[in-house]
Amino acid sequence: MLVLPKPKREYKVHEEAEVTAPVANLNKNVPAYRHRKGFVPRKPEDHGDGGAFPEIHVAQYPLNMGRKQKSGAASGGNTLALTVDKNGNAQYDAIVKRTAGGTGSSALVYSRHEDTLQRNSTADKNEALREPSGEEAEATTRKTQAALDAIVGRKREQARQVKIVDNRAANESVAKPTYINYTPGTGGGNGSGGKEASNRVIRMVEAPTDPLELPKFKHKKQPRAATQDLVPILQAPAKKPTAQEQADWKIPPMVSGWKNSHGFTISLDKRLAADGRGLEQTPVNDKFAKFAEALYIAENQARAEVEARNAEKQVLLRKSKEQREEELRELAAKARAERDTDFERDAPSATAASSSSSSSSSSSSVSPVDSDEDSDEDNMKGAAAAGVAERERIRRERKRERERDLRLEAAGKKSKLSRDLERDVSEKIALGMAVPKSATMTGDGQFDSRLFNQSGGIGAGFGREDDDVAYSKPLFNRDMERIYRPRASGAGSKYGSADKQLEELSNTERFRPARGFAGADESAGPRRGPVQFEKAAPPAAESSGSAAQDPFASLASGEARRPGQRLEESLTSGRKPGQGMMSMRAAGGGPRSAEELLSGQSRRKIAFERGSDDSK
Amino acid sequence: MAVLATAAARRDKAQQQRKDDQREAAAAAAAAAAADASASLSRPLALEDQSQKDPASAQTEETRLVAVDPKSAKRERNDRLRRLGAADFVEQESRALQTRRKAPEPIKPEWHAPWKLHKVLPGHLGWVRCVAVDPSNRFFFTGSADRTIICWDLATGERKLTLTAHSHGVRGLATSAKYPYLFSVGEDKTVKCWDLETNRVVRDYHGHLQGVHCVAMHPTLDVIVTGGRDAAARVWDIRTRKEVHLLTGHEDSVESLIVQSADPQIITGSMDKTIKLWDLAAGKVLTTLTNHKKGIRALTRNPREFSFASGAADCIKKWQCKDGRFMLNMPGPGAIINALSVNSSNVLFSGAQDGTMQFWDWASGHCFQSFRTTPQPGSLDSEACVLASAFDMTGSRLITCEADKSVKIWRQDRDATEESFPLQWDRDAAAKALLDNRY
Repeated sequence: MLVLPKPKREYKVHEEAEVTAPVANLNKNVPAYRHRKGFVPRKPEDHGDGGAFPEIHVAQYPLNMGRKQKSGAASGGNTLALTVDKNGNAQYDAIVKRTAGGTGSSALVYSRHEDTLQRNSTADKNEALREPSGEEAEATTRKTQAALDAIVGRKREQARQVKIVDNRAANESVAKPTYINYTPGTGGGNGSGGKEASNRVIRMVEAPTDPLELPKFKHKKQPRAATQDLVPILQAPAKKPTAQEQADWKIPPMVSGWKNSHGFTISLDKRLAADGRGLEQTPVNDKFAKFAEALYIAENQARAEVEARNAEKQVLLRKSKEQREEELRELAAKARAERDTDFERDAPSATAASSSSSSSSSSSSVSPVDSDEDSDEDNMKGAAAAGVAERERIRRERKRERERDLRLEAAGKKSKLSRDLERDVSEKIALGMAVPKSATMTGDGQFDSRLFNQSGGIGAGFGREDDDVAYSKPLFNRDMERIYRPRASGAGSKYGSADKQLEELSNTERFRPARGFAGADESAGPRRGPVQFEKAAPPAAESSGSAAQDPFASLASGEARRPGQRLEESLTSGRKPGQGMMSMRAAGGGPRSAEELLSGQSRRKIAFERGSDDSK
Repeated sequence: MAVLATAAARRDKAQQQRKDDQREAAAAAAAAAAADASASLSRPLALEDQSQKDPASAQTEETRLVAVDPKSAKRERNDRLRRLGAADFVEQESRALQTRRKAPEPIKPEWHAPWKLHKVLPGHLGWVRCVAVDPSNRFFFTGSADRTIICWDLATGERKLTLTAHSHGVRGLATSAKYPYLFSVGEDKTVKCWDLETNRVVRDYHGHLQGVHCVAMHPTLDVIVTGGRDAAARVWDIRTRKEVHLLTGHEDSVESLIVQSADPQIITGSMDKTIKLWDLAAGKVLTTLTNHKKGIRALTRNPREFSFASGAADCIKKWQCKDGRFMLNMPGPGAIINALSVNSSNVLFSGAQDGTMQFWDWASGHCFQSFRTTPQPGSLDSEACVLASAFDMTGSRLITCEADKSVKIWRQDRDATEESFPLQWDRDAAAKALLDNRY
């Protein structure tokens, strides 16, 4: 195959302009064939829709074929002459002036820079703003009236003609039906008769229409007419949006928290933006902070005030207490002094009374206590008096106890008696037993369910009869315990004996405290019970003196007594022997025995007790 | 056109040659030369290839050389004038241009008393969309979105009559000085003619394809003009109910209309941001004004001056009526302006969608009062919105129709004086605005 070299030049094929001219009508004056001498066809009409005349030797353009398109304003094409105004400026708006309102219209077009300026200064008052005069308006009205009348008249005439035509047509159609002779084709022979239906006459009548029938077709919107006027847009140039405005128009895409049908991956910040969570800032008024600060200051101040007030109150209370104690002490001292004087005065009578009356058991029992240091006669007198006082005192004591019980009961606390009475000591509740599910034993609950569905009753599967087992299986599953403990698999196991390990663990040094208590004897060996504290004993002389001077030492020193502790208890050491024993018993027992109490160390305290009795 | 221009150029050329010969008569001829020069020089504006020009076109080569491009043409012309001794004319002209550009003296606004609320007329059940004052000035009509037209007594504010025939909201009303007729248009595509002697609809004007939004009656001819959502204004013959003209050309709904007895007899404002001035006799567009940037919802014509104003969301603009020349920009409230009205004492009122009411001095474009209307109790704050307005025939009362379903009547404060309500006008600022605010 022969390969040609590449062409050195490219050739452009000239394309003929598209023929747009319509088919012209035939010129009637074209001479006939053989009579065309001197006839030159120049216009498309001379050719009609035919071709060129071959016998005429001039250039011919039938249907404008081959003719160059005309140009220039004179030809009525798209070309316009460029005109300049009196200043020599080109009038580029010639095009829009021509297109606006169609050719030859009086349309005004504003397209110049001057047309965009404001004309509202004092210099701009012109004739155009004057209201048109009456004659002008009248002339305009007349002219317009004529034009409109013409239009309306034409329209009315049209409507009337249409109506007349319609009526005539209607009359004709009613009067003259058309008859059509109809011969069916040979193919359609499925009629009933066949031969009879070969030829028919059809009477054609227009179907009557209801003149009042609503129109069947709706008006539709007209298509918009072609815009005839292309006018320049004299708008102010758009303002450049500021950064703020641009930012305001930035709308985050909608991100649903529920739907994502396309399954897009949505980053967290987009989600947050769509959520609008961070967009709203809650402005907090700074008065809140001020308010909180003021509250804080006020609270502190109030607290300080309350504290000061309390301190003051305590000081006052303490002072009043001291005063009362002082009074009590004075009273006690007075009573003691009185008793001493009474004692001396009553001594003779007392001895007489004691000799006359037989000594009571109580006095005899008490007498040895008093007869330690006093003389015999004193002893006799004192014993009788003391016996009476003692009984009186016990009575008072009992009474006071009852009253106290009553008070406590009234306050809601149970007295010892009632507490003991109400204590449930019945055997209804067996501790440590499983509680039956239903409190009222009904139905199956009455029976041991383990016996159900057993073929042989208690004799089958419940163990042997001689087996001393109360239950077939343990009530609680003990396996749980085993889980947490190493198996006791003995010394042969991999990890050794579990019990031994446990013992080792519990005996390691780790469980000894790193630092012992000060003064505790480490060498005494491991502790075998709870730590016991001992009170450091104060010097004897000082304590006895202070006890004598100040029986309410606890009050004076400001030490808080336990609420259950009573005054009597604190005075135990200053009691008479019998009384002391009783009160000690009531208080639940002390460390000292009756023998210790019977020692003569507390003689002076006996005297105090008696004095206090008298004072009451 | 080109032929004429060429002829003018030839004559010009001939004249120039003649005057070159008679140089002594230059001063006398200067004016004539200037007048002739103002006749356009021309050269063909070649939209196509010039070489293919038809030789039949009568254009001399010489003329083409004279004016090669507009700048050189200007230079040429100036040289010529200078040669003719008319240099002072050129200078004068340029100076005049410069002074015009530099120092426009703004018009000083005249004092107007402030306006205040006089009456609130509740009664409508929907937005009140339109108002028309009867020429007798005894009553006025309001049309509402509740499909009713209510007639109110202007003096007492009593409701006199309720007219119901529309099946949708009423959007426009027009009264007639000649006939006892009221024309109403609505969103139900209908234009109705009410006979106020019997209070019945006596005519319907059928033809609008969509809701009708505005109507106006011709002051001297028996035609009404309606405009609507179908982007067309229609001229109807009142008596025969024929559609005289279908004025198409707008590309969006026609929202406002002015009809007057002098040309241009119809002015339409549309949502396509253009105002069109129409020739009623021919049914053709005279001028299209494109300065607005937003849809024009309100138009009003000054009864004393041959000028009109248009209101859109961007601003209010004042125009010459005769040729539609742009006159003035009045910066609006920044909201959609729904209502514009002028009275005979040169007070322009503008009511906006956000309830802003502004009162302007017509001549200077100075806003002397601006405030927000108060919605009647029980309505939302967002319902403070002025939808339509009209001055009564005397111009002393202003009727506004609002979205809070009320009609409000405003009156000038009679106690106000120039001392109590001083004119706050800055001349320099006004001059600057006059120079700077274009379009």
